[in-house]
Amino acid sequence: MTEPTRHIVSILVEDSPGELARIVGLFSGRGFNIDSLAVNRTTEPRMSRVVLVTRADEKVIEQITKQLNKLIRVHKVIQHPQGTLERELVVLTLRCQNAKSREDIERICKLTGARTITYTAADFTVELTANAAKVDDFIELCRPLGIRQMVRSAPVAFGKPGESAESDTFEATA
Amino acid sequence: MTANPSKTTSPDTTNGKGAIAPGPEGEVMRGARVLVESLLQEGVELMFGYPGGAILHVYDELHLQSERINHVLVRHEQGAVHAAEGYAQATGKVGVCLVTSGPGATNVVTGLANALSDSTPIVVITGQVLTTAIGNDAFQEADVVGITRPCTKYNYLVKRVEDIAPTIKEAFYLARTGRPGPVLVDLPKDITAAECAFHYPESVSIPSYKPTVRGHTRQVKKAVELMRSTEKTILYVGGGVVASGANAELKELADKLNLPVTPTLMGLGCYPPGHQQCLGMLGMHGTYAANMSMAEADLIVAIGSRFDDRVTGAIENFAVNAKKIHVDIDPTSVNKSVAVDIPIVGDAKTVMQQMLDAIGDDPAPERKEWWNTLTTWKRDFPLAYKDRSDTIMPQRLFEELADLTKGEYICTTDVGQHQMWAAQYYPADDGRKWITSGGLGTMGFGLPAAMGAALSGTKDPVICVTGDGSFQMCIQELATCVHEDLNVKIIIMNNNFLGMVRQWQELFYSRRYSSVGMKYFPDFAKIAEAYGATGLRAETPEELRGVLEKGFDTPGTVIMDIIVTKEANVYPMIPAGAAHYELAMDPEVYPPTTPESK
Ligand SMILES: Cc1ncc(C[n+]2csc(CCOP(=O)(O)OP(=O)(O)O)c2C)c(N)n1
Repeated sequence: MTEPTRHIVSILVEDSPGELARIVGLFSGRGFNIDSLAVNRTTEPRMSRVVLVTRADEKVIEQITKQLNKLIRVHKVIQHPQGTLERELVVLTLRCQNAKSREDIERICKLTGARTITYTAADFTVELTANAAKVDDFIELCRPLGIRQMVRSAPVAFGKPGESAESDTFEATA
Repeated sequence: MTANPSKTTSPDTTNGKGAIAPGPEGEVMRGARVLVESLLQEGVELMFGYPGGAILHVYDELHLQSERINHVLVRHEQGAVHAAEGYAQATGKVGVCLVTSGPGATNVVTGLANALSDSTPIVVITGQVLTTAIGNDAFQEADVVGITRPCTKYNYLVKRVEDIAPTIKEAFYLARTGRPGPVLVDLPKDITAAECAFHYPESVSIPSYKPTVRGHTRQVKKAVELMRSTEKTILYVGGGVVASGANAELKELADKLNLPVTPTLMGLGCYPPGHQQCLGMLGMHGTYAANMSMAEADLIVAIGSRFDDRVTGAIENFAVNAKKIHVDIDPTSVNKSVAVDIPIVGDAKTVMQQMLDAIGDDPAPERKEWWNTLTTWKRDFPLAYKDRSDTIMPQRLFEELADLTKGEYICTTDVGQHQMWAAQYYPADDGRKWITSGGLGTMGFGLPAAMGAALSGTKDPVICVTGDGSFQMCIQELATCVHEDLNVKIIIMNNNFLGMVRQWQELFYSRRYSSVGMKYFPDFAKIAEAYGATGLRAETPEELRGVLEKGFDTPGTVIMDIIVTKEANVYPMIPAGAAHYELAMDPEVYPPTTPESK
């Protein structure tokens, strides 16, 4: 048996009441784990994409994808390969009482590609869109400045542009 | 049942019956009538149910349409859903159950879970409060779709009267295709009152639902080659063979490859039990030959079975060295608990036919040594017990029953020791004649299931084998049996105990009998009389045969209360968590040193 590793799974599901509950219920009912979950519309009408991050060994991830496929209204399940393109959003409010911390924030933003959304005399609110590892690093860089608030989204993932011949709705829609 | 290879559309809506008269296309009618017309389009002749406020419009319509469709009033909604299951298992058609909102709906949950475990096609229609009241904690409101989501194959809340017909169409299609199962349709009261023009769709299209029926050709070929070339091969067959109606294909496959067959609890009857190639039932209380053959085989061919833990025993010791082929319609069953070498997703009947085609006229392998071993096991370790003259041994009861009926009647069971002995001894000659709660092990299933089976069109009596505990879980259905004048022969194996639990407490908890002895027992024969049925009792071995014969000769519903010895145990037994080769034999018959473990 292999060690549990992180997997990103994309699910194309009909957008009707209860379908998300079926997906989530499947995970809780069968003891699978959900690290994070992102849901939104797609380019196709009445179709939603769920991007889900889970930890599972080889046997369990096989069951997860099969069980998801078995759901009546699930159209497609993609288990993304390791290293797939993924993006998540983090919004941080950082303490900023003097010129020194303002400079620090500017430097970190420049380095990481984060940007300022808004600020007051006492704090700066910045955002970064990146993959999970980069977001982790960014948070570590910011931590010494004093994080007053942090909100982090679930990642979305997609195949490399042009690579995904699977379905129109699974092509990168950046 | 699973035979539609075009997969996404189903022009056939007949639920196994012949052509159906077209519905009143285009006629404007209330939702309640739309429902009834849709059920008629599905070929439904009969449903089981219980009325209440939220489903009143439908009951009113059933009154108006009583010439065209039958409704059997049960005495508890659990009875309705198990009756629908019994009907479905006996006929292969979709069973139908109709109940009201709130408590009516929650009372069917056990049956839904049971049908999901045993892949039984049923459609359950529940009333619901007004759409405008949903979410307001209205009287008799329960989130039925939420409660039943994990115990149905699919479920619906219908929100527009126009959706009733297409929803019913889809519900039946989902219930009977692929891996069959329970589908629930929740119908708010205002939707059954609202009107629309009746239009029944001709086909179903669910692009995201495409059960695979045909096995992958190359995998099938590989499987056949392996089955030919591996001497010690065994066919391990389950409920999927019954569901797909593949008795004939199985028989031919076993013939053409000269293979031994062991059915699971759910597969009993799909292969002739008395056939020399049949090793008897497999699993926790299966035969010595069946369990040892799994331990010794070099190739296990699972068809329509799912490596359930009651069959595999300890999974880490399960047939470690054997190769495995797994044929199942449900991809999630494959590689779930046991890693297989050749997975084949497909319908049991179709795939076995493909295997037969691949075999052609090649002569069957001899498997001389393998058969030597198997026949020795069968001869040296048959099912056996020590009979007594002062008290009725349970096994004796089932031997007599087998002798009297020859396995020709439908037999339903409850759950416990009586179920296992019935499984060991009742020689059902068809999978649809053996109706038991396998996956969920639901006490209370037996009597209502027998009702459903008795209304399946059989002219023979239907046997319900039950225990003194289980019988009291749905005892109220006696009233239904008598009301409908059903030819149900109830055999209570009365040991004054919740016997199976007592057995475990004897063997694994040093006989600390905790809440398994029922101090007060009703007089079941008198109960029969009170309900208007016939009650008989046998207390001694001399009385046994006479009571059975009289019971079967008496028309209508009969209870035969058979007082058996109190503390008999079911053997063979693989203790939970042990391996096949650790199976324990009856110490009264087989000296404790045998069988030697490997
Ligand atoms: C609804 C339900 N509750 C509890 C159990 C656990 N259980 C399994 S067998 C059994 C005893 C059954 O007793 P009885 O019906 O008298 O049959 P016997 O074992 O004596 O033949 C019990 C309590 C169950 N299977 N189903």
